[in-house]
Amino acid sequence: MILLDLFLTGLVVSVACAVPGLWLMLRGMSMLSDALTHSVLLGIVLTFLIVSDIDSPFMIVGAVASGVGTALFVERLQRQNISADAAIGLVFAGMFSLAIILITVYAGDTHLDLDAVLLGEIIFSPFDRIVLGGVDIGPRAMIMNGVALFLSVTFMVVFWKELVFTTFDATSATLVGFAPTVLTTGLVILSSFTVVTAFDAVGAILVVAFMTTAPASAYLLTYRLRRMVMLTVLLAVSASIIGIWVAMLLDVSVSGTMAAVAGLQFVIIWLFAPTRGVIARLIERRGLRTEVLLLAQLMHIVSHKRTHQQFVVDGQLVRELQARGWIDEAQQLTSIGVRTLQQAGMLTTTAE
Amino acid sequence: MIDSVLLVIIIASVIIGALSGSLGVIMVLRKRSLLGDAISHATLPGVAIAYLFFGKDPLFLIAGATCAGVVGVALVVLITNTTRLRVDVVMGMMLAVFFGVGMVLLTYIQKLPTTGQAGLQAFIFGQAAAVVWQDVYVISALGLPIMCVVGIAWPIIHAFCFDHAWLHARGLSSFVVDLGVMFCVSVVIAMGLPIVGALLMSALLIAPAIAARPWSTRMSQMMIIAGGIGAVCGVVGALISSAYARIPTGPTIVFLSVVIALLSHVIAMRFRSARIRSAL
Repeated sequence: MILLDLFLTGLVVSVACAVPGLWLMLRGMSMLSDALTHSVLLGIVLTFLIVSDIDSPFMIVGAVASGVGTALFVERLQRQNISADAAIGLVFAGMFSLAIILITVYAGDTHLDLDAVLLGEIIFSPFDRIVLGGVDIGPRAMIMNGVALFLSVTFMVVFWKELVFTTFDATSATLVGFAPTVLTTGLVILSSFTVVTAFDAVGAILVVAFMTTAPASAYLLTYRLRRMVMLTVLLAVSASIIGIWVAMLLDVSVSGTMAAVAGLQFVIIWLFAPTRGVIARLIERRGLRTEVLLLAQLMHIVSHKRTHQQFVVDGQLVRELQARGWIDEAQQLTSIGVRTLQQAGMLTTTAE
Repeated sequence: MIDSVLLVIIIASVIIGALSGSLGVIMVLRKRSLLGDAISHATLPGVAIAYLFFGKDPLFLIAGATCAGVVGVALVVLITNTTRLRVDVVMGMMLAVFFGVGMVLLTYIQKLPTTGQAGLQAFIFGQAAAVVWQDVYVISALGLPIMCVVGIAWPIIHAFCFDHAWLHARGLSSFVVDLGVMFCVSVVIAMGLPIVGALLMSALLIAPAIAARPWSTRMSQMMIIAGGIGAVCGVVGALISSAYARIPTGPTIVFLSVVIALLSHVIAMRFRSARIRSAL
């Protein structure tokens, strides 16, 4: 039962991060997910210092507020002649370092543990359960991330048309009257909420892994958006299940292994993807090279036959040409050869 | 009277602050600010592997961290060049995945029967109090040659930031120069890890450079100002954290440098608008 809870929690966390992560990636805001995971900590710490209850709903309000604050601050700095990446790096470092200073200064008086917040350990999540009116409804991490997942999926389904329009053609979307910034703010709020709920289970840094890796892998596999969403979810699910299983076998950090498996999945897809993978493209390039060489050799033979000059041929290429039936035994151009050359645009008039 | 423990921390912080401040200028000018973040997170598995094979010798830990950082950068460049993914996605992914692998290795090391692995956690959060004279020797022994390389290769680095056509005209591959520069940056990040930690080291790289930008018109000027700001933040941060027992050194240095960067831009804006007003 505990094992099942662990697997389910991992699965929900991983999918809940991947869905908003995909939209952040498509809108070119991936680095914001990195910034959010760091800066949200300041909101959590500040709220904790005020309400001093780690399970309080205000924690989420504080975290979301600091997430939105980060996005606004970054935008403000960009108007100050600081480039986007520098602004993001500056803002989250400032908020994060302040959060760590506050945590260590007040560490003695609180239950906020730096290691737990930043590195997280999902293995303990099945033991922290939500009990409502005497009924055990499940592990806290699973329920909270389930809510986050439900919100992102609802957001995506309800605003699908608007999301697609503003993501892929922001200019005309603005002209027609859609406001991309409203949806961006919605996404930032959703992402902050997801980050806060996920962080408990997997820690701040690994949230970035779940937000970027599955979407990036799906992006390499397809151009179709619907298929990309499906693949993202599928890859997030498989990374979490394999990750948890491997971690149990080796008895090492569960969230770390989940991230490592997600990375491995990406590398495999990057190298071996059917048409756009590195290896597939190498093979394609080599094939293309042979085709070009064959055509060049054919042209060479044709033009020299016409002028009756002495010429040198490559034996291997000629054999391949004959095997394809483009030339006959006497190295005369066949009708198939003529058609091939015409299709390649290398022969405009029919050869006598 | 400054005691010897504090002196070590101050010297180490000054050297790291000055080095990372001046090298950070390259990152900021090349719009690579977040790559430093990717490198510093990516060093973690290198530290763990170096510990597994060579123990806690700081030289080997730095070497391991540097290698992992360079591998991380090379992967980011390779993946960006061979796919249609944007570089920010690849960086975010690499830093998190490398960090995850590092976590796996660290939890594996923690189960080993050998003692003394407790110090490895310091590489994530930084622990200035654990810095000893040996670390200072290693930092200076590696920092000096790096500054010399930057000095000797100055025209190349300058062109790397502003004029790739010049590099190509001189028959230099920008990829090779890129790897060389990123190697130097990785070494500096690796050296800063024990004090500032993997999570915040990148900020120490870019914040002084961002602070120096409005006050400089030449790259050499910017490097000197940024190095100076980094060094000052190092001293002040070390002094503040020694005066108040609970305040951690690394985050304080980083927070100071971020505040200086923001203030510097606010003041620069004031100056600019005042100048415009007087010109009118």
